[in-house]
Amino acid sequence: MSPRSATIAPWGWIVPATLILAVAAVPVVLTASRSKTISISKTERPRARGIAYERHVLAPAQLPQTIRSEGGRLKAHPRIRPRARTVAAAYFQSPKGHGGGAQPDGAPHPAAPARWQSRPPGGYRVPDAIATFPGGRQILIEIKCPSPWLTFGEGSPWSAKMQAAFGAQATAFLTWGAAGKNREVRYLFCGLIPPWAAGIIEKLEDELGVEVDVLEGAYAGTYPPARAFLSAGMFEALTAATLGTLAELAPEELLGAPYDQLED
Amino acid sequence: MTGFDQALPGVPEEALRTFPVLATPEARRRYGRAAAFALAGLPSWEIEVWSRRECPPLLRMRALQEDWPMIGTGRRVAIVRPAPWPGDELPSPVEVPAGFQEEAVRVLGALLAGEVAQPSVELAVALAEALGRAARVAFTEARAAARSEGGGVSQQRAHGPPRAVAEAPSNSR
Repeated sequence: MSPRSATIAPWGWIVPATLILAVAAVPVVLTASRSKTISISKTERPRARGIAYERHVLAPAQLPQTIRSEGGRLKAHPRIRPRARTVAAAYFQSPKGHGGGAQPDGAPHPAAPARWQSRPPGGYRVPDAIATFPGGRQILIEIKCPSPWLTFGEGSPWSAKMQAAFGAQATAFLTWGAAGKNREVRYLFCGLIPPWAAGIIEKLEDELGVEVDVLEGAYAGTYPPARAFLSAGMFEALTAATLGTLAELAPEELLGAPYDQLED
Repeated sequence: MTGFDQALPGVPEEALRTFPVLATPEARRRYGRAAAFALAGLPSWEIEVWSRRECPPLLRMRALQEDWPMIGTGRRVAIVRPAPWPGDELPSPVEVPAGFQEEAVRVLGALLAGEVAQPSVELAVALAEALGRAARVAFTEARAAARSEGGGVSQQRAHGPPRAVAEAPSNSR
C-alpha cells in the first residue's frame, strides 16, 4: 500500500496562520501595557494609595463614627498654625528593607535640608483631622500608608526628600501637641510603620518632649492594600531566611557532592 | 482589629457594631473565644511590649497577618495577642440580658467548635456591646503599657486583672 501524500490546499493555511499571528500578538500587547504601567511615576502610586487609605479611614462609618460614639467632633483637614520652630534634621537609610531596620544616614543627599521647619513663615499646616472631645481634649490625627518595604542606601535623593517632608510635618504636629496638656498626636498606619518613619518620630519625641501614639494596621481589616504589604513583606522575610540558611552551607553541601565522589 | 480607641485581637471591625460575617471555622473560633471572654467580663488578650529596634520583624508581620493590634510610640510597640484559652471550661456569660444565658452558651459553644451560629437580635447586641467595652479596655491598657517603661526593658507581658471564672455547664466547650 503506497503512502498517501498529504497536501494542504492554499486556503487551508488561513486558520493556522491566523492562530499563529494571534498568539504572537499576545506578548506584544502585554509588553505595551506593561510599559505603560512602569512609566507611571514612582510617587503617583504611593500617593494614590495614601489618599485611598485616608478616605477609607475618614469614611463616615469608620473614624468619624468612633469619634461621635465618644461624644467628640471630628474636623477633617483643619488648618493649624503651630509655633514656628526648627529642629535639626535626621535622615535614615534602610538598605535591607524592613527586616534590616533603619540606620542613621551619615551622608544624606546634599539637597536634604539640614533643619526641619514646623511651618514656613506666615504659613500653616493641614493635618488629616483633629478630634475634639468634651472637656477640651484634642487629638491630632495623621493617616499614612507608606510602603514599609522600601530599601534605600545613604545619600538617596528621593528618600531624603521623602523624609524631609515627613520630618517637617511631624515637627509641626508634635509642636502643636506640645502646646497644650490636653493635646495628643496620633498616627494611623495602614500596615507596619516603616523603620525610617519610626526613627524620625522617636527623635522628635525626644527633642520636643511629646509622646506620639502610633497605631499600625489601623482600620486595615477592610483595607485590601494593607494585605498586599503583608504579602510583599512575607516574601522578603522568607527569601532572606532561606538564602541566609543556604549561604551558611559549604559549597559541596549546597550543591551536592560531585557525582564521582558519591559513595555507593 | 485596631480602631481609634479600640483594639482587640481575633475579631473583625464590624464585630463591635453587629454580629459579623465569619466565613471560616477559624474565624468563628477566634470570634467565639473573644466573645466568650467578653461576655464573662474577662480580658481576652495579653500585652507584650517591645522596643521597636528589638522586636523581631517576623513577629510584627505575624501580628499584622493575624490582626493583632500594635499600639505604641516611636520607640516602643505593645502587641495585643489573644490570651490562652483556659482549658475546657467556658467562662460563665454574665454580661448578657436576663434569659439569654442559655442561648449564649449554645451560640458560643457552636462558634468555639468552628460551626455556624446565628444569635438572636438581643444576644447579637449584647455581644457587640461587650466586645466594644473589651476593645476599649484593651486599647487603653496597651497604650499605657507602651508608655510605661523608661527604656531598656525589651519585653514584658501584662494581663488584665484576674476575675472569677465560673464552671461551665457540662454540655458546653
